[in-house]
Amino acid sequence: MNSPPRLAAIIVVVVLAQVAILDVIRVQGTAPNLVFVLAAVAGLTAGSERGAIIGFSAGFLLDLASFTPVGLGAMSAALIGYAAGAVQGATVRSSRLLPIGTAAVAGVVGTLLEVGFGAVVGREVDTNAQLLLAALIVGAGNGLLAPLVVALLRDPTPSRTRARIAGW
Amino acid sequence: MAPARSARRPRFTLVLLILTSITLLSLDHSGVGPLDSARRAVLSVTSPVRGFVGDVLSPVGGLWSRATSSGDLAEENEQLRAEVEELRGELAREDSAAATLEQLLDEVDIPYVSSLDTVTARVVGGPVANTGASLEIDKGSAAGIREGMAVISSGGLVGSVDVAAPRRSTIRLITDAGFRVGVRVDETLLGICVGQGAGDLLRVELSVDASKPIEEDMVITTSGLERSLFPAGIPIGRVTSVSIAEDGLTQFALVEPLADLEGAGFLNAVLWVPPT
Repeated sequence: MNSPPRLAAIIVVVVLAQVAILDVIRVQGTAPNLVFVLAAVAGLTAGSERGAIIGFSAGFLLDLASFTPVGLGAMSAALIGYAAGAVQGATVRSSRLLPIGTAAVAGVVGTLLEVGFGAVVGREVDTNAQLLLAALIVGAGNGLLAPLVVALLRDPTPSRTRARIAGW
Repeated sequence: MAPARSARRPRFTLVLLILTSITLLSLDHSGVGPLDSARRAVLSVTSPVRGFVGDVLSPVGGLWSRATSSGDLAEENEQLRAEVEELRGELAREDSAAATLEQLLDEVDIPYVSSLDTVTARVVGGPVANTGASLEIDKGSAAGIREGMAVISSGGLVGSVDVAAPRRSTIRLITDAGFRVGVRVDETLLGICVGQGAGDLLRVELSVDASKPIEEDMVITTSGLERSLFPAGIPIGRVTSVSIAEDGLTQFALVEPLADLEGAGFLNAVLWVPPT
């Protein structure tokens, strides 16, 4: 299990990567959302509660680092993390494609959630076609980046050490 | 019991996080100090990183941008060209409107008939016949204009209403050969002013008064005497030359109209009829 300091470091790295790297690489003016990927993968691996907390923390930090209203990204990512944890609970058999699919869906849904919440607080909304295109681009990008985040979140403790700790 | 408790706790956590998010949104909207400070602190860390990474990755970013949006650039270019053309047209229309407004303001500023009602009309046409000096304006009887009423501009008397249709009127200019108006010269001498044809100076005929000689540059105005068709005090023109008839009893003055009779864009019809 990732320790809190390690999780905090991962959150910082993800947010820095989002604002520094992904900002440069855009398609039709839209970039993938690594925070949604992190929230989704955290929910899948650690459950709804942790997924929500990690999503909220990363979303809050991203809100501070960008110019979105503080709390907007945090709320969307918390919901994504919670929902991904629910998917994990409902899944009978895990698959390597599950994190990719979940991250992609999280990108689409998270983008729509963010825009919807933003509209409630008075932000301008793109037209339906532009919004849908942006959501799909985020979903596709998220799916491609999901394996990276999975690797980042993987428990670094060697398996033999984990077994010794578990008393095997 | 344990499974129900374990199911409730994530939901409770989620609700707590959502309420916290809503609180943060409200605080951010209100511009609360700590949040602004937190944002500045985070930006102070991320901005340098962003700048450095941006510089390093800018060639990649440029290539990526060209690869993913090259087809859009041509379309965007066309769209921008069309917008520029439209804006140029708008600018030209606004310049024209501004010039028209300035002309209107210049021509409707008429202090000498401040006590009389007037109707402002736009000049919409020149002479309606091959002979005579006239103009057409876009107001008529529906606006209260009647035949015979004086028509003026900021410079002075332009003419009188010849024909008044509901929405159009024809104005006989003061230079028209058939135009006649009673005048006062230098506030004291009385005479008759007649037109001599389009483009020609006006001719004023007065009796000679040795104590009050007419001189060049004197201004003549409408006399407004009993049965006069025009109210008193409307400037007509400035004396350019004076001559005396052979009998020595009559003097004549040539007068240059003060009003711009050819370039006027707006005129005012004075809604005044002689008292009966």
